[in-house]
Amino acid sequence: MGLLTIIRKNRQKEKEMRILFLGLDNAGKTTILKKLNGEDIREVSPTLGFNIKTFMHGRYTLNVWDVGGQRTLRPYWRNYFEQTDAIVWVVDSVDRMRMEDCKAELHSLLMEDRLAGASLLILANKQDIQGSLSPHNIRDALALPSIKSHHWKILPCSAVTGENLVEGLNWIVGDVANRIYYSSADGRPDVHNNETQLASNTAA
Amino acid sequence: MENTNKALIQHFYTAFQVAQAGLLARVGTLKAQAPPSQDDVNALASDIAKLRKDLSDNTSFLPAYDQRQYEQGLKSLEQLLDELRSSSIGQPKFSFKRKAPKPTSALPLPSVSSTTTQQQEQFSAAVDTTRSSNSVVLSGQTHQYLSWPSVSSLTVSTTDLSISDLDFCVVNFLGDSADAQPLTFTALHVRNVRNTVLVLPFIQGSAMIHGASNSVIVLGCHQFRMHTSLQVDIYLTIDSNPIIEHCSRLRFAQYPSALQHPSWMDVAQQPDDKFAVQDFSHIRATPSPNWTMLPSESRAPPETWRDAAAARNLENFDDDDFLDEVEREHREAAVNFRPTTDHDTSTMHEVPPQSQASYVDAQPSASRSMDLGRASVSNGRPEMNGTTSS
Repeated sequence: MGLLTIIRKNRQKEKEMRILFLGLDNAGKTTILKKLNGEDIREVSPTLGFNIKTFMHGRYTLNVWDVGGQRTLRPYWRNYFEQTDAIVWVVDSVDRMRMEDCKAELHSLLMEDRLAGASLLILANKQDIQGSLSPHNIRDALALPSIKSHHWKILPCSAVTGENLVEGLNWIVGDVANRIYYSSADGRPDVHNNETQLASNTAA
Repeated sequence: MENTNKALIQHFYTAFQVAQAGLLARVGTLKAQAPPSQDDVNALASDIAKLRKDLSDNTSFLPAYDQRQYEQGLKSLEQLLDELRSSSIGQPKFSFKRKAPKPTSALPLPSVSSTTTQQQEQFSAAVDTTRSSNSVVLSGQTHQYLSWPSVSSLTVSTTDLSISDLDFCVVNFLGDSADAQPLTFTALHVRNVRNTVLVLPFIQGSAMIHGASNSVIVLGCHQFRMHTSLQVDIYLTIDSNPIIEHCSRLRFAQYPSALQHPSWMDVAQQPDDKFAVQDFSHIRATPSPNWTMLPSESRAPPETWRDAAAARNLENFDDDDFLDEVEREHREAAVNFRPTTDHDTSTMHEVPPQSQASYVDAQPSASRSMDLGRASVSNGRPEMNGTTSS
């Protein structure tokens, strides 16, 4: 029972989740991630390909993929779908003129087989800007209530002020954890116990 | 062998018939229920899938005719299932209804009085959303001079700006130079502007321009994105790289110094050769044919900007002259424009070497191909900016 054992045990408790940040260009995906990571958000430039961020959230290791939202890049989104646990769909709440576009992209994304069952968090970003649409309006504009295939939730947020970013992450991690690890995200469940539960569930 | 095959065929026939009859009966009972329960429908779906699998497992010995018959039976079952599904959900899962009477596609609306509230109403009709009263919207105007005091009675000095469907307009939002506190825009969204001059101050956030043609846009911003635009001159100050997509005949130049407000001193002023426009429609190492630097002799002379700046108070600004000049410029530009082809890696021919834009000549591929080289596609996906951090 040396240090190595303890480290190894700790490693086992860590669980990984793969989260995909998507949305139209100019939604603020990269800015949100930078803010979450405590980086300077003034230097964000439009994403030309993708960014990967790995950070710890509670007991979970989050692998976050932030893929550029330019129309030209959208066909490449599907390269990232494999084994995605959760999607964070970022919306520019000020961009009324592209809400239809945003809705169409979101709904066609959700039809993707490889994303079946992934949790979906919609972030209504840029709430710091006066005149941004409320989450209620965005829910209607994107026809969110018609989504039956995924667990979803919408949260107002601001990448500039940091409002609701951590809360959003909490929700998504909790939702994925409940689904995959059969444990509540907040508690400190016994790993061994969970695994037996998982096993019995797959057997049934 | 003959016999066993025959027996198998016979056996499968009866098994399939029984299963099919059973499934049809279940479809019937489910249909009778007012909204069929989701679980039942799912169970039915999985049983149909199972039957299909049985069929494909047994294709090795089934005669072609039988296979077709079974196939048809299954198809009709699946159709029934689809009907059940749609009735159980009530309506199709996804509907992409386009709002038909969008002002974007319509002719420019008659320019009613330009109070914000009225335009906001037009907008909310377009996107089915209510708007708060503290954003500025310009929409559906032709042949208008629009300046900050004239369109808004807003008292707040921080707001976002939406501009759409303008034709033959001049928009001057520099604000009152005498005003100690200049107006601050936090976001800009522009859609469908034609034959228009937009003169804007520094936008605190990002600028998103979609469908501009034959126009001049003057602005500063943190991020600049332009989509599906044609023949636009952009006078820009920016602290990231401008992005263009599905655009052509764009020309970039520095934000005119005559228009700079003292309070923007912190805004990084980059020299001409630092403009690295990233063209998503041309992800190659060669220079994009869709944009050039605006040759200095084609740029609007400083007097024009001084006039514009002086017109902050709405006087002395002969926008007709300005528009005429812009139009003439564009006609010339259209005639002279000879974009380089993909294979032509050398230079932009129309740029005279003595002009300020001569860096294109001087460094045909060094600086720019490096920037665009980051945007090269490998392994079927764009791998640029790919950074890992933890």
